Amino acid sequence: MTTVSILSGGAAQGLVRGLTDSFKVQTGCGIDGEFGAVGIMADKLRASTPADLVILTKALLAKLAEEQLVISSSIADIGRVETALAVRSRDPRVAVKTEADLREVLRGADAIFVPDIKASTAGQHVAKVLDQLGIAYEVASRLKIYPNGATAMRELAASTATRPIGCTQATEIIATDGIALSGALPPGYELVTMYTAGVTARAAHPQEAAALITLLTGADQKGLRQRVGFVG
Amino acid sequence: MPIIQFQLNGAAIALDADPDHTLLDVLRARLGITSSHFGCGAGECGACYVMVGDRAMASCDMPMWSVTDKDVVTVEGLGTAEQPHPLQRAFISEQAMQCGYCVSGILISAAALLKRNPSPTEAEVRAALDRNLCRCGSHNRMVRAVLRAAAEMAPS
Repeated sequence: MTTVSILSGGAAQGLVRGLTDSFKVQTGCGIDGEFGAVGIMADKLRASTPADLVILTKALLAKLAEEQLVISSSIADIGRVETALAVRSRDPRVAVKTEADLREVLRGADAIFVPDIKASTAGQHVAKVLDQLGIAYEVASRLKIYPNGATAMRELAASTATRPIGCTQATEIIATDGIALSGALPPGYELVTMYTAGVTARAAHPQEAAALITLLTGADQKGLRQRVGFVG
Repeated sequence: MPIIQFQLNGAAIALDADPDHTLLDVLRARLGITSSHFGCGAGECGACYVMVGDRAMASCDMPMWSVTDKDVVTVEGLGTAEQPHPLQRAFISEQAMQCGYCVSGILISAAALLKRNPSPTEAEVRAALDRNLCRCGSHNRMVRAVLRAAAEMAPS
């Protein structure tokens, strides 16, 4: 069986998983892939990790196209994902409507679960938000940083802390059992990221990868994209 | 939870597993396959590599759903203590390891290379092992070991 190999930001994992069966019916091909922080996935492609398709932020994909690692004409937007807050399913949702709410919630948490603050979109944003709020130093010892959002959210679900909170891409929160989406970040702190797919220049199966992009971006998949956390 | 089916070291596996859990977690915690190690957790160091088809892939960031119907090989599937794989014999002959933490991933990268290219050049071996980190600095011996195994495996 031909397999299309993907390097993807963790935010798109739920969507790709949701399309695996349709893709197999449509093309007879399977999908395998690695999902993690977008910066790490881009570096993997640069380090010649074999891949047919990449799904990363729009800005990063444009950079890879400039570096001639991705075929420009194949690039297509999938959809936007918000960076959001998460709590364990058994905990009350936090209501964060203002900057003050956000500061209070983060200061009150005894553990803050986030993805890689250097290589992941959401992690970089959390680091920026903490700086902007002026509480980076205060909460540093309570930050629980994991290589990617999926792992951070699984650890949040299993956390034995008293008032834990998580912050990552909404899609990763929705895809994790045991936690619940608790709203986007307030005005001035929000982040909405466009995820984009492209066929790699060294793809072993470029036609199949292009077919998967068509499926990922198709109008008939809008419902699935919304269910897994893409907006618009 | 759904049943996920795949081949592991030549045996059919059907496992009730969370599709979003990583292959590495399932191998180590559920199936007792412990040769693949947790290193960075981000797919960057190579300690968790397994062979999927004919490619070495990180298992720490590979979700179980993407393993469905795939053919997965770990070091347990390469050889045994009684009948080691030529790569394993060569690594012992060349003393190509120090602490050994990275070696299972390196054996997998090398086995995947030899599956695709049975007679690699030294440059090709170096390129194939480039994504595997070895903190002990044993790479030169490892390259020699892979070339030695390739020579042993070549049809005479």
